Amino acid sequence: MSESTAASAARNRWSRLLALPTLAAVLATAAANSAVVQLPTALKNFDDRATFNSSQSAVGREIAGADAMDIDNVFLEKALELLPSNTTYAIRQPQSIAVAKSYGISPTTYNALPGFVQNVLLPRRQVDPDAARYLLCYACDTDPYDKRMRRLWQDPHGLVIGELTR
Amino acid sequence: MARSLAGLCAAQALFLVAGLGVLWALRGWRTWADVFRLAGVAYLVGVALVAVEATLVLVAGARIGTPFVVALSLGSAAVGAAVALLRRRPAPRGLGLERPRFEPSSLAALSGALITAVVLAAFFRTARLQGNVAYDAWAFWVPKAKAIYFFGGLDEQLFRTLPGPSYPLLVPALQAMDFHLMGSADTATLAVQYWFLLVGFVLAMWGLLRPLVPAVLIWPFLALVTLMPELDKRMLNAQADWPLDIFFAIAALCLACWLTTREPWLLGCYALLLAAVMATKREGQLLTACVVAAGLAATWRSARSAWLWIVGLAALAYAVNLPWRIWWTSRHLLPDTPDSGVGKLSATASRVAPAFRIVLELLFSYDLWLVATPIAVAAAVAVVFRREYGLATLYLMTSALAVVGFTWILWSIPSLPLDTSQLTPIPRAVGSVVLLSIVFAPLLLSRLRAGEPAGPMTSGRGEQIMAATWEESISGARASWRRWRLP
Repeated sequence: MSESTAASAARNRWSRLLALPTLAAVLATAAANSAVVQLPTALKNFDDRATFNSSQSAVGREIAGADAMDIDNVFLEKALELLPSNTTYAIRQPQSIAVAKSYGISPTTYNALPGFVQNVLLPRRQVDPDAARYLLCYACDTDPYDKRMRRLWQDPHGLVIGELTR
Repeated sequence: MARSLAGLCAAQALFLVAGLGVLWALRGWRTWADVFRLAGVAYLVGVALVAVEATLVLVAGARIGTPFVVALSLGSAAVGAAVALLRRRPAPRGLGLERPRFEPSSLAALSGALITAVVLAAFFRTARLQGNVAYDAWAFWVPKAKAIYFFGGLDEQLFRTLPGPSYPLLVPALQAMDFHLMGSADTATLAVQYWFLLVGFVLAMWGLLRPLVPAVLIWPFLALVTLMPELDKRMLNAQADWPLDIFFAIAALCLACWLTTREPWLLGCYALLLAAVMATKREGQLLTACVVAAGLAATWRSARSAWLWIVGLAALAYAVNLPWRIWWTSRHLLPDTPDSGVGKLSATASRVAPAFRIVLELLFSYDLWLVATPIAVAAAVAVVFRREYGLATLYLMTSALAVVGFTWILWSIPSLPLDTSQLTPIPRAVGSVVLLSIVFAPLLLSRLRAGEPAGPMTSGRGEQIMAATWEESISGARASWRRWRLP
């Protein structure tokens, strides 16, 4: 048998082997098997998440990402409750991450807070304090605003929500 | 809550009607069974079309509201119907149901279908009250949608303050339309939109593959896709990744089916879905380039008749997205490409190898995706051994180019850590290739089931079960193809 004929025969053998439905069946069975093995875990995960979701209040679901960012839930709930939907507000934090740490505020919280609050409070517009009707103070220095601010809510950790007068 | 859910369902019905109108114009309907089989494709095409139209309207400075969404959807359907009537496309006649044939393989397919249905039902329970927890979602995708909903249009002032101000607009536009139909910016119910997209994907994949692939090869992969841990974990995150992946995978599947059957309507779906791919995320341009390049390679033997369609329609899909680019560049918003120039790339060359390894590691991770990609790759390689190059080339080359592209992303942004954590976009980005693998795997496996090697551009050999349907569709495709052929 010549070399080329042998190569051709080998190629045909491979071709016949691969043409058999066996390989397709094996691969399809592997996919099905993988799905069946994963099924109980997936159903349990879905059930856990659905149970958790249904245990939350409507406001709790609205601020659902706050826990991951370690943002105070009551602060957000009070802001939603006290600020009218067509108003403007400013959010203020400690001057730096180092100062924030001294209040027990993590860098993650510090960096995420303005964006997270902006999303939760829309359509209320986040603006500079000079143009704002309300101030949301997350352990900020309230001295510059105290003269023109009426405190609506505060907690012992330095979180304040106030109405600003012009 | 019930009001929100009803509104969201109404929005999906409008998208479906729009898509049904488009498919009627593109291909016509033979029977109601035909309509049912392609309902998933129609839904995704409807979402793509209406959402892309909404982005154009927003860029033009118009406001969108509930009447706008209704008019846009029904208007798209009406235009489709008018075109269908002008082109004398058939309307559905009769149910067209076939008597089911029960074989051992039917039982296996039925089991797969049952698992898929059970998982989707469980998924719905989760989606029904899912809060908005993902960073990208609350940092910019949902705020943009809320701004469109509350302020009526694109709010340049707000966009400027958000991360990713120039990111494509389809997802915020879609979410804003949902909010209008829901009657409020109910972010907890918004997750159901993503559930509908997943259901649409499952039905679209089934509908496109059913004439070409036995059900027993389709359902294991549909069950697999609904059970992939990473998809289950992140599908409801109100981000743009999964919509992108879904549009991309079905667009590529339309191209693959067109390679096999040459039915022209598939190219229409390919173009509409590619427009949505590029309107959804900036990675969409990369993925489009990958599938177009692979499409050209897969059709090199019939370049004269195929290349103009593949490239021309992709260019058209890109052109639809130009107004948004003009809008944000004219306002000097931050650009949407990686920040490194060529000089910086060479300076960070040491990142190439680890970046490549990380992309592959994430793509083939069993913990994230189960076995979808290894199976599709094995099937494609086996098909190549049988000297059938068209479909395998399309799949393998698209995947390989996407891997290179994702490597480039990781390499070109030095601030991204070289690890497999969620701090980089790569764990989400590789989802596009995983869904591509899911949709191609049954098609490639069906080629292995054929009794003997077949040449490119033919299909259906060995598919005894579907022989009659196949003959019908081929003869229909030939007739259509003669009408559509380029001069």
